[in-house]
Amino acid sequence: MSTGTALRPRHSRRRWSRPALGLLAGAGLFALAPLAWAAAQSVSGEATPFLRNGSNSPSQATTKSKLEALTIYVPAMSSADVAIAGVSVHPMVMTYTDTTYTDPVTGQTADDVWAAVSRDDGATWKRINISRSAEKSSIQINGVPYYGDVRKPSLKTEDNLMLVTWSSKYCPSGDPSGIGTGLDPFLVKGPQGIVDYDAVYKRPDLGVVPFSCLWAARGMIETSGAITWFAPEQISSGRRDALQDFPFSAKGAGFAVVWQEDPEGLNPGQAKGPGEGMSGATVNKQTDIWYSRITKAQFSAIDTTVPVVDGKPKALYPMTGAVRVTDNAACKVESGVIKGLPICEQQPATYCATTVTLDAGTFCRTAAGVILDGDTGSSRPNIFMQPKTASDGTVFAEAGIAYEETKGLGEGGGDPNATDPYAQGKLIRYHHLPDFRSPAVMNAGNILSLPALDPATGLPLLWPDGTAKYENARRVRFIVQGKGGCGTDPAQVAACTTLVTVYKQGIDGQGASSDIMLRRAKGGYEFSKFLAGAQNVSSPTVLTSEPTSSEDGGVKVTSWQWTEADLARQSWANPYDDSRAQRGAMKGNTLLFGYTWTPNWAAARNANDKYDFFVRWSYDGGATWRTTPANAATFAQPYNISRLPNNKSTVIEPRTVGTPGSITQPDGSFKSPDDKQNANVFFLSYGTSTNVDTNAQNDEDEPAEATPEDLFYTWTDDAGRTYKTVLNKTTRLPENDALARRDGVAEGEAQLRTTPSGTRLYAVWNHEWLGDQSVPINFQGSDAWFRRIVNLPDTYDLDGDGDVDAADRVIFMASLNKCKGQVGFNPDADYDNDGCVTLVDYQKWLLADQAN
Amino acid sequence: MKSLLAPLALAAALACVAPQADAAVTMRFVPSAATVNVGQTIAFDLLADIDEPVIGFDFEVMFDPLLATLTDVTFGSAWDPFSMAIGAELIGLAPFDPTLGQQTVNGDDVLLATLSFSGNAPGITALNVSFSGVQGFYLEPDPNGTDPFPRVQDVTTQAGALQVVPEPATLALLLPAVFGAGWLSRRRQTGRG
Repeated sequence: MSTGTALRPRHSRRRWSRPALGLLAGAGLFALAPLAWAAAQSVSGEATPFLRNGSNSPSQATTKSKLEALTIYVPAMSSADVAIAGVSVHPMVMTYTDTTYTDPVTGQTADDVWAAVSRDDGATWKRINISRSAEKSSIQINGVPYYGDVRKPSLKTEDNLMLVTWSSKYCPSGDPSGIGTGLDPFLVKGPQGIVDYDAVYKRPDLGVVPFSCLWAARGMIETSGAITWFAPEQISSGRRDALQDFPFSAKGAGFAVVWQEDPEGLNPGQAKGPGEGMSGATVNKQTDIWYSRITKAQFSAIDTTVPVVDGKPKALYPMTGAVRVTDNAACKVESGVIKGLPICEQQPATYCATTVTLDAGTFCRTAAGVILDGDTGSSRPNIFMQPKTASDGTVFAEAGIAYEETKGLGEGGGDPNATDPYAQGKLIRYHHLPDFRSPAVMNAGNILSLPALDPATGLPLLWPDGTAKYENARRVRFIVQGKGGCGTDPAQVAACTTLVTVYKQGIDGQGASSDIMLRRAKGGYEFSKFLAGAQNVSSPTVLTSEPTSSEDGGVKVTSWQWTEADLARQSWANPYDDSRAQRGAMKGNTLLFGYTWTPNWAAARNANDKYDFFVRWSYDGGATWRTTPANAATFAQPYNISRLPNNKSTVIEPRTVGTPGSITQPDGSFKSPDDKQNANVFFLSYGTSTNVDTNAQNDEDEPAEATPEDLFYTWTDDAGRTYKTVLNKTTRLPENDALARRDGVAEGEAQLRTTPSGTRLYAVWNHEWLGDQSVPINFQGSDAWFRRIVNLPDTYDLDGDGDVDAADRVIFMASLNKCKGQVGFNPDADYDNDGCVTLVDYQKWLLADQAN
Repeated sequence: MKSLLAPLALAAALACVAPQADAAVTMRFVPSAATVNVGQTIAFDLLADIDEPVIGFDFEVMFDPLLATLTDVTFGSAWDPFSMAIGAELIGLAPFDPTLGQQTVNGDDVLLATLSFSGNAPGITALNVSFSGVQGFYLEPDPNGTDPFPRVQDVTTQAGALQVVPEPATLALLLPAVFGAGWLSRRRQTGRG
């Protein structure tokens, strides 16, 4: 293959573009010694931030880093297996892609999926190439091998088990499920497909590209610290183009993964370049959501009959054969013969109970009434799992799957010729799986997004056939908690929010102004548990506005206010604002929800306004949004975490992470105080990027052409009421601490994890040197960087005598008005971690004194 | 005289406002004398009308250091011994009772501190206060409040004026010279006529 005829999608390459790495001949210089840090002082009070180069491959382009912390304890040891006597730790694992192979003739590059495990709290990382496909090829394009490039690995862990999934251009098996000559009801088997972007999409710049298939690799860490990575297993054949894999797990039950497969190849959408978009948000008809799973009991068994290759044994039990969750495929009836998906012919009572004749022909109608005419496509699936125990003691899981689906009213995301905006875009569907081991297949699920209302009358809008119209809803995400988080009393559980779904919604099509809608379920995960109605949790009331240029929308909103009434408003009530990248975490009745928001969507697309990171919190599982749990509390405005000073930068990639559940020993005790959950702690981070004209963007979460800049973080230890800051030494104003802020380097896509206590924060991010030679040599490269931040809990008992009293005040006063670096500064008294002991810290001390 | 009024007007315009909460504080400087000679000391009482009980304050006193030097700060009797002055930054704390806990201060004409200045050079400088960052008048923490760590939102300062005049001995030397210059000027004008 030559790069002139078959360019592979660059996907993340544009944002994490390749710097001039030829200068890095001495790559061996990149040792794992602690590195100097040029950013602002740390909230944690560390003299030198704890930084490690996780991938340590500066000359290879590194992207898509992910991080998980396991719950087991292992003896601490280095990556070279050198034990650290007397210390036990929870292992951590990170995954990322590295450009492992470059064809010496064509120059084509291909990435592999790498995993790195730390057994010494992040000090050293033991790396392994878990995909090993970059230098392999399963298909030739124009007589040239197309190498096994991978894309965007996803990572999930449970206890001591790790599952990594990814899509890859290396699809050597046309029958990964081992169907052989047996029935293939979902058409899993088949040769790897290709898409000619010039012929199909008039995009000669994208060339001819093979389809991707789904892969998974399992890993486990034994209590001895021994790490086993299994040989990767191909799950789908590549007959359709696989993308957007999303794994999940349930304690004691196992793992499952969902993904989408486009029968015509990844649709480039409206992107103007191969690096923009290509995210799978725009799909062709008959794109389905697929599903596979493995139980915990089968997860780690090794097939001893197969030789170990590269130190990786073969799993005895493969992940289950892929099945279609959704029903977007077509089953056509021609001359009385059912054609299309074989399951329609094999199980006609269910999938071809009757037929319907449309303009395009005669199609099957399922027993559930769904017409299988193949005019819809599903994308960007999410899944969650929650463990359950059967009457025989078997642990299994129930699960929920949500995704966006086109309305079947036109091509892809909508009919470009349709004049009715409700013919455009997508709606959200939800499936509840009572038992993850036996998912319902070829199923319509339930529509989660709500029917559109007439702006004039407030009544439901209907199509001529009486069916409901829907606004354009997309990008659904779950915020979920186990019923145990609600308490043990069944009445408590029934009254408690167990599941929250948040999605973008607006009248107009892809990329247009939209709000974040929230629906929540109480007491369970079935669709019937969802409460009626949705809350508009992002859009405020416009107070004042002024005229502006037409390209900026004609109106500039200059002031606004969120009110409780806004929660009930439709997306069109405020047509000027836009929200993105919704995230959240829920602990008991505390729900912390974050998103990026701009008051002026049109102006922000032209970089004449910007997005900030807003967070709001609820102390009753999303029923109300008030300042405190007390009944007398007042409605709380969303809080602007990022507070960007001007439009030079904008916020991207907000993150909201709660503490994981407590990790207890068999006797119920805690091996470490870090293992006890503090549900009041939430960590938040966000990135900044250059603010550019985003009219060309395709991925709504990530502005096109923008260059990532820096990463910042903060946290709350009072369930969202206050957020930690550092004090800017120049302005003496509080600001968010930098997670990664180095001149000459693009830093983005942070992933956060924390201990149950919330006293330690772990983060990885993508680090891309931009070519400036003044950047220290250790930071010149493309890598996944890791940082550990130790957030010491507040200490009000400063003399350690067991109470908070006047004696502690005397100690506090000795440090008043002292800053870090000054004689007398007491970091224990710097409760807001701004680097100085001020009267704000005294107020916090007083609260503790009064509580005492 | 015009040149003397300008800084006063500027000082009045500089009345400072610190953020948050609905309570108000009004501060003013009350001098012990109209002027101070170069090399001598003058005291200013910094008084405040404090609407809501506060637990402390933190601000900077602003003046022209070329004209005067802040030589001493004595906090009012309402304030705790831990109150401190670091240069021109004043941090006042309400008393703390080991049994009752934190006390508060409010009321009219509360003496925040008495500030002593020595004159450095003739001229007039405005006296004012400024707040930066998290400085301000601090209210009691309120765990149920919108802001659990509130400060007084509306703080107004009526600027003072510190006028430094030449010491008398210097004036005695200067006066004959001034009168002499005037006599010579008049004599020349008379001669021309």
